[in-house]
Amino acid sequence: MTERSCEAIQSVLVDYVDRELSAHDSQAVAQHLAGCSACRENASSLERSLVLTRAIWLDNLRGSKVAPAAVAARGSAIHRLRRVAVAACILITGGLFLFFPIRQSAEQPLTYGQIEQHVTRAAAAARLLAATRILATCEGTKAAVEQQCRYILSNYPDTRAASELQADASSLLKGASYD
Amino acid sequence: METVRANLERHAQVTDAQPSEPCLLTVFLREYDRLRRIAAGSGMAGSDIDDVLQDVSIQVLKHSGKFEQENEVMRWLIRITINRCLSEHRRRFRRRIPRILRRRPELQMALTAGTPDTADQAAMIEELEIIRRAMADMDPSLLKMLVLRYFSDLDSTRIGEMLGLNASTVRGRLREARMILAGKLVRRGIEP
Repeated sequence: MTERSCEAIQSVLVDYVDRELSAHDSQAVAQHLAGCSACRENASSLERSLVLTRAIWLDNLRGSKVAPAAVAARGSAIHRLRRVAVAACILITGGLFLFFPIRQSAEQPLTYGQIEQHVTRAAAAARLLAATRILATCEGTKAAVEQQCRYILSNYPDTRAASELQADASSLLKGASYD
Repeated sequence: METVRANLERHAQVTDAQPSEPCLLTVFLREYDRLRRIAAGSGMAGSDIDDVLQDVSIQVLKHSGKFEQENEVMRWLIRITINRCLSEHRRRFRRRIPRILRRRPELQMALTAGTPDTADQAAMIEELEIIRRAMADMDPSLLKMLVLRYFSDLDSTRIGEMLGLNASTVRGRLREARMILAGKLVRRGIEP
């Protein structure tokens, strides 16, 4: 590479700062930079911008999740409820896995389908139990509450809702009354 | 996420029994840190990165056994990670949560720690914000090149293979992206 114009230098400047040019070309660029302050500033900016970019990336990698306060304050009640519902689902599902670990041998890990099926069943049972509890607070619903309890215990015996119901059925039926 | 990763590792040990095809899960676990960097470089942060990789891991489980070559697997993994990040950006844009512009005082403090001069510190913080904004405004096709090259340590040829481009196109886009970032600093009149 012989003496080059600034325009020609710009086209190889990125390769130069990344040290991807041959020794010969590198030397030619270095010679140009020694006598040209504008190109020197560009080369410096290229290096500096990459350092800052990497710092931002690394910060993203390390940074913990912080909810933006301004946005949270603006959020509607529906959004807040949605967040609470999602958190409750996660807690219930996590609890289910803690209390009812699915027995699998080390040779047969869970498939995605099995996990999905277990979560779906647990959620269905929890919904039914919640509805039954609401039903029990109304008058003249004892027969229906009993039927609901039997249904949950027979169809979802392996769920957290069923074990809660076994422990709590008598108080649930006490609250309900016959017509 | 570590629990999910551990479970996937256990799953991989079993499914690895068929040596004829590249196990998607094995490649995913091997490239896990690279994918994490891609997500971080694409503007995700902290537990958002874990959320992205959680989704990717579900896709991995769903598509297990569908690929014949390892290169194909890598390309697919990188593509779905980037796409997942982009869709997250779009979702945030709609909800007006500019997370990529998030300012963390810890980063500013770390960068200015070795600079006692207050004016220099202010200039550094300003530069940081210029670059942050430039990255937020950058075309995703350029940003992903930057991330893959300078944060995931893939060379131009490999990036080309991953994205279905030739190496010279990749180099051209990398140059363009670098010049955009550097140009922002020069044009603001800040001495580098």
